[in-house]
Amino acid sequence: MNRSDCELFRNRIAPYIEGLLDREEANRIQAHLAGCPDCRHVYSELQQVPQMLKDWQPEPPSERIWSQITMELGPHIARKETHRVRHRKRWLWGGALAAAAAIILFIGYKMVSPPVSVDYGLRYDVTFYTDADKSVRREAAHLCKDTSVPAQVEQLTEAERKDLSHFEPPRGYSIFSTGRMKCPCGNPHDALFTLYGGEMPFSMLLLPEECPESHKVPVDGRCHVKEVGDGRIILAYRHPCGRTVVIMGNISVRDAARTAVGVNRGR
Amino acid sequence: MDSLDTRKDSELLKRAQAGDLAAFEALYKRYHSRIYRVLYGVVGNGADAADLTQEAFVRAYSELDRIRSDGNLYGWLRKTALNLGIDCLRRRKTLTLVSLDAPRESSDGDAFAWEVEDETQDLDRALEAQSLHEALHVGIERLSPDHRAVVTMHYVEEMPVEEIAELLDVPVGTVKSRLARARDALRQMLTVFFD
Repeated sequence: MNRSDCELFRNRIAPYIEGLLDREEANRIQAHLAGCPDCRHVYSELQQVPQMLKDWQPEPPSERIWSQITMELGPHIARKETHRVRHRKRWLWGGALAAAAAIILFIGYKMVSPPVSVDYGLRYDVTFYTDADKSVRREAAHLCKDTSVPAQVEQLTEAERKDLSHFEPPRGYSIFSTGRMKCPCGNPHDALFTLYGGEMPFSMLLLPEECPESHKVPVDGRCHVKEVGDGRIILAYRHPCGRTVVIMGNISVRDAARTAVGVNRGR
Repeated sequence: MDSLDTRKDSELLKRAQAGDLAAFEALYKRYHSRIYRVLYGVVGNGADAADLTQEAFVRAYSELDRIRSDGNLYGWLRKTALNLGIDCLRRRKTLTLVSLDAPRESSDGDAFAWEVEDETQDLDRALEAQSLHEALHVGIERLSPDHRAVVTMHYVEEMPVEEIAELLDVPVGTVKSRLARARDALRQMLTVFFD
């Protein structure tokens, strides 16, 4: 068996294993393998590849996927819920009808109210920040106009940096700067901020848990949005850690929500 | 305590179809890692795989009523996920849906061979891997998208080549040919880990 034979046959071993060769060529490969230990070794290695792949597991997916799914499911849940409520009401009404058949016959079918349609489809409430609205808007204007780091910014601690690292920009944006600043509620505590650069810069504030503004945002997993004109929004979201995230600027509600809940999709 | 984790797919599916989100979450917990792995194998990176996993489950929820409770839920989920993954690749225009073995003609009419990306160019990196897990990861990442997709579907998920061919809309021979090339490339990258 010479070397050129092996080179010729070696490239055909994998096609042979996959059943790609016609009978004549397959017989030639078989005959070669019978007399060539080196090619048999290659054959043996090729046979082991699928078994090895069965154990392959990529890095585990982010645990945030489920929270993002529930967010996306809003309209679907609403539709199902509406259907379910209608269905249940029909049954309830059915029971009532059976029990009070004589009365219903008497007063007529039209007296029975139709099922009530329940709309749970609202994902974004338009009620937020009535008191602190002005100050937040002022901060938003300031941060969005000037992309440099505000003067009162102080260095972040390691823990603060870690807190902010949960929030990443949506596709097309990048983090310009992060820092600590006086909380827009006016109380003597600081909020952390991140300024995101992109076509239209926007910023995010992470309010401390003790901030009274935080408690205006219910812990219901929803993003609360207020449109403040010129395509700008203020979005607030109560993060599972208890603190409130406020997104401000010209940014789509969807992108803002993605940043607020700390999920970074589509990068 | 009503532990959903131990419930059968069919029961969870029925409950999810009735609007029980916790039942759907239990199904998600049961299958999301496998769906993510399939998608990772097809699209080749974690960010897109996570995105598509999310999309697959959202789509599954919106189409729950169409799934038969006595059917193969995982098979249905996987098919949905694979379709999303393949669409993603098509959008990226990185999945060659033409047989690499098919003769092709140049402008002057002569047949020429397809140029195939050298999947062993990261051979050294794979050979330096400290563990089989790491080497597999490098190896799979280095495969071309169309090779990676068939490898994932056939070797990892054990799907029959006929089903893969139908999903990719290519002949069975093309699937087998891609498998052969990918197997060869992986053999070279994993060589230090063989018995």
